[in-house]
Amino acid sequence: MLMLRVNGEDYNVFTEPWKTLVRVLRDDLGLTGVKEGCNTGSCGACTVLIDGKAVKSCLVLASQTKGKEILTIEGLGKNGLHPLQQAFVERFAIQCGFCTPGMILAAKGLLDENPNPTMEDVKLGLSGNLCRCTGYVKIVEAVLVAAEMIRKGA
Amino acid sequence: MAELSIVGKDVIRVDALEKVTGKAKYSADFNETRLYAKVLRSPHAHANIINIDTSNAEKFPGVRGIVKPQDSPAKRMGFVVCSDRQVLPVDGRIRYIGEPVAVVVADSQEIAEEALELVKVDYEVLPAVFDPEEAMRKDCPVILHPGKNTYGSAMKFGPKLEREIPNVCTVFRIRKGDIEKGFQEADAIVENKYSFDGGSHGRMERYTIDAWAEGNGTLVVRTNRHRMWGCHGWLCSLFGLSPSKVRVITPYVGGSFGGKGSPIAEALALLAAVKTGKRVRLEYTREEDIFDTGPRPVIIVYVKDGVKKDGTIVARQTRFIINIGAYGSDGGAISTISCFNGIISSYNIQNWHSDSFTVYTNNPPTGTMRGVEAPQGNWAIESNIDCMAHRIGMDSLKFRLKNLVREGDTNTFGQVLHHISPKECLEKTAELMDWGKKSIGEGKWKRGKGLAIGHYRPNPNWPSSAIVKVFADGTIEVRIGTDEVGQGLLTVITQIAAEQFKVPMDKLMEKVKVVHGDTLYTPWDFGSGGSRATWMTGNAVIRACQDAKQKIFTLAAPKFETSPNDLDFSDGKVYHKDLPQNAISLSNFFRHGVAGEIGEILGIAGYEIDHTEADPETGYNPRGAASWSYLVYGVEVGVNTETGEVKVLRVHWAVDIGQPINWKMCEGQVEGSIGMGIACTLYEKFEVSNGKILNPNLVTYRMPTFMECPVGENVKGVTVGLPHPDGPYGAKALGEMGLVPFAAAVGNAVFDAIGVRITDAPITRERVFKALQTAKRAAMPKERTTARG
Repeated sequence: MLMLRVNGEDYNVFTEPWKTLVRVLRDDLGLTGVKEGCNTGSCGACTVLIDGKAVKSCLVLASQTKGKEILTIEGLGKNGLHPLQQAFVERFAIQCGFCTPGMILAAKGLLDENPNPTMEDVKLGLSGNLCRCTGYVKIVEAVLVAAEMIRKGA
Repeated sequence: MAELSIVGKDVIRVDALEKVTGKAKYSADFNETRLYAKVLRSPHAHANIINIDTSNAEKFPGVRGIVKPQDSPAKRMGFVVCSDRQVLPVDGRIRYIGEPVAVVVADSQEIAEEALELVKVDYEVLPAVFDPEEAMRKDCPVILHPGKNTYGSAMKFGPKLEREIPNVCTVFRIRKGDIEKGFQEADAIVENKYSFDGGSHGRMERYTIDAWAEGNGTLVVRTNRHRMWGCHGWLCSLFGLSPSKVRVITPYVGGSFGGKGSPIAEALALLAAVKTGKRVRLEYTREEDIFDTGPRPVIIVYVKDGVKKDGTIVARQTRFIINIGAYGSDGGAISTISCFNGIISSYNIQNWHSDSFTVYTNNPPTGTMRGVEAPQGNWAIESNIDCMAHRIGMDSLKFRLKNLVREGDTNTFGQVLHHISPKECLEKTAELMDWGKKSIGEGKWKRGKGLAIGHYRPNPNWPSSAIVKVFADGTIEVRIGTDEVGQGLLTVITQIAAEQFKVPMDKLMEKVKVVHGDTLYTPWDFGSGGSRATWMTGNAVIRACQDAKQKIFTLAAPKFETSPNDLDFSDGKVYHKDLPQNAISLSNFFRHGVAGEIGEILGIAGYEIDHTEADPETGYNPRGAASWSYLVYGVEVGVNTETGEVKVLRVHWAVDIGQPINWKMCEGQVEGSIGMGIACTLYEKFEVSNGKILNPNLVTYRMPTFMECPVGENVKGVTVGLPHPDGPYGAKALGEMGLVPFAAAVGNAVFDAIGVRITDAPITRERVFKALQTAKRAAMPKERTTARG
């Protein structure tokens, strides 16, 4: 039995000890907003926040996250859209949408640490997340817009 | 054209909210009780299967069934031209490393994986051929498809089957004018061999399928693919079932870019479901997704151009050799003709002869990827255009403008071109990128600028259809059978339907709904592919909306005591055109949800293009496209002369796509193509050894990240086209065109930077480094070279 705290709620999960966090979140908790793209830590689609830090959940065993606070995309949108979500919508930073949850969480990890990033900071901060549809242009734009919204207290 | 209120506006994507909150369901997001299938794949590139022993695997606890070739239909299927593919090798022949041999079905992925090891297959290994130029020799001792000429074909269009050369699948020729005479008139001949390596679509979502049989015998697959109806037809034909007995469901799809031409994986999942009588999931690993979903083939292009001193191109001879791997059924077979879709409508060339071949080899089968070899064809031609300009000492922009097609000119295939703005695309891009101004580098980083033009058209070969239902409260429900794969089609269709019914902008999300992704509820459509969806499905939707409106007006006319033709519709209300203030809500014409004797207000329409097919012996195709779109890229690069590294610094572009339905989404298509273009042009390539792809994962097949792609002010584009009279609200095609002229623009910029022409794409560091070394050696004084021996 494993105790997890995800999106502010406590869960008791019966699962195999070798299961990665992405599998437990998706298969056992039904949090399918967490995407699984490569299972090698290359694409970033499975990015979640663990104690505020962006982590690729395919590279972490679920059992390693005991006592830690996990945030998935389902938790971010709980009380109305987060400025990042709003900016991604308004700036057309989404196409197929498969990389979007991981991208938004990676961006949240970045903005929580650096609320006033330059364009280069955003590129570097999100360089662990791949997107095949957008060419990244509108994603960078959306993150910079969201950063400004947050700074202005949106 | 009347003023537009929804079309042409940057309407927020209708799927955006679901996608940013994690609520959008993709095919792997359904969590039902099911079994898991794993595919046993061949370790050999060419072999006969002698025996498959599954006895140990069957005894393994948790294994629920094993699908062997004898469980599979023997019917050969194909996407076009040549039906060369069996789902499992019923003929006993393996033709590539990784070809499916059997499917193990078990209680979990892990059990299925372990049981795979217990299946014992005896092979008789055969000699294999991997090089296309070796394979296409008439006397090549290795023949992949001895029965090729008897296979037959499901579709009759495009290039023709080659019957004389055993390993050549299809041929396509251009015979325009007199090239002998043309070359005699030329002051210079510019001859080069170009190549473009194979690569992956790189979609973020892996191929994932759930398959099951319903109680009434209907076979169901839920899968992530484009061409849902294509998959449906293929499965009906394969299993010999009526269209009503197969259902294909496609929820949100995490990227497509082509591929998955023949639905082998869907068929394997269904065979597993039928065998076990249970719901089965088949989920490809990233490795399987990279090599076995019909990736981009390797292509070799020989170009010989003749040019006069004044800059007139007088003759062209080309030869395309496309290594399609073991089967052409994923779409590879069509590339003998599709490689011309980005080069035949740019310049006036009176004499052009060409031969193109798709060649079978024992490499994994390839298929369609964004542009279907049009980008690779463009790479060769637009690179050679710059070579010609350089040879005769003319500025390459001037050279392009001199030979460029204008309104009313005829393209290479004999089609008269109308409603086109290629000149404006070139001139606008040149202006944006400050073309005349030399880009200056610093130290080891040299800089250069390059231009290339490309074009595309909506694929005319198949029809589209649409059903529109109008509810009593004025809600418009549009049913389409084409695919939303991320490109934004649902938003395009929403905008078109809203424009038709004059739905106010603030009610768009509430009052327009697009039903898609399920063959049970949608009308037939070829699907998204060939950049056709906006044009074809858009036009079908307009007609279906008009049909529905006509029914509303007929229903309402008696109440207005007028003819249906005097009525109009807006915001859920019917009104007389002369008295819009006396509008009556549509609900007044319903009783308990029934619209009088017609019952429901349904608009139904099909849409087809009156077109010709290219003559495979000459290329003549006078009505081969309904419209031509154009795109010009102006790229600025930095090249590190010590390491050979190339960086794309700035990209400027101009498109002629008629009236954009939603400019922000159009921009997104081009920007996405720039990202994918950087991937194909500078980084991504399959490393292949004896038919085995050595880098089929995202650790060793490195896709570009944010760090490799220009963003912000460094990527800037504009639209210059005019509305096309036949397009939906004047729109033309876009999707695939974004990739077409990118590689050549980069190659031309690299030449501008370092004075060395790279003819093999991708332009890797290694290739640039080697080319610089070779150039250095060539520039050395002769005596020294001799002295060194």
